Amino acid sequence: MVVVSLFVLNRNGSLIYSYETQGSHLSSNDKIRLSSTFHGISAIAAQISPKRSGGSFSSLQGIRTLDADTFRLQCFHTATGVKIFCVLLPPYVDADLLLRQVYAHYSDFVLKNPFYELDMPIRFETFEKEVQRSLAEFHARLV
Amino acid sequence: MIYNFYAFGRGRKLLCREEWHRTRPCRDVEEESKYVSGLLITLKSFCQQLGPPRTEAFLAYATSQYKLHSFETVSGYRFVLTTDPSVPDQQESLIHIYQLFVDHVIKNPLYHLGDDLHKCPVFTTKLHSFLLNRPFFASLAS
Repeated sequence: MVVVSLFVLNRNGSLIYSYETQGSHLSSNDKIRLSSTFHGISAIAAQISPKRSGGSFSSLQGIRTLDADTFRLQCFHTATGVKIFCVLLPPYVDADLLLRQVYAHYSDFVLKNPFYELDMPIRFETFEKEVQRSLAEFHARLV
Repeated sequence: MIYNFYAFGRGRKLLCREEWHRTRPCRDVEEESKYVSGLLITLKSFCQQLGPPRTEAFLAYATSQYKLHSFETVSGYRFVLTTDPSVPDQQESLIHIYQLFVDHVIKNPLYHLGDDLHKCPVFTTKLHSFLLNRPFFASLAS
């Protein structure tokens, strides 16, 4: 498995969806805490940029990839401030397509759902299924 | 393109800061270096918690504007380089800078721990010539 986990954060930085492909060592509290930490880190990283921003949305200037010695985190920023990120294990492959697909599922199966309240945790079976399907397709493309 | 170099001592103390090609001038050096050092500490513990067990260090992050490379020594010194996002992994360059630091700063008997590194002109000259000779120093890497 290359993608270990996938998180969706709302524009305020709180966790609204998370998914793990393997048994996770994180408790749900840890996940909430770490994902809002990421939101903060990303905002500060945008603020200390040495390059003048070319007038793009401030929500698009956060961290895109983060490398540690054992894993890589890849994040997709939407114009409205939603962050979709996943944790990848080596060998690293670009997961941008996967993240964009998850964003498409988010718009199709969550935002268009009349019972969904904005910024609330996502608990929809259809969305979950689509995310799992995209993940399975992503892994199938690798072999 | 290289934008900044920072060296932090133990206890987040800024020992050296250099800048080249910045298009957004830095308003307050002290404030900015506090942000950077604080960010590095947070990133390290973030990586250790989020990553698989036995994750040790944070290496680099990239935004759409720039990339920050970091190398932390066992003794707690941090060497940081900010470049444009297309530059590949720079751990080896930072380890090389650490080597220069050990040879020309730590082994210098006139240097007191925690002093500004500009008191060791040999180190700063070598640092400049090393970074100036990187292939991506002034050009955008392809």
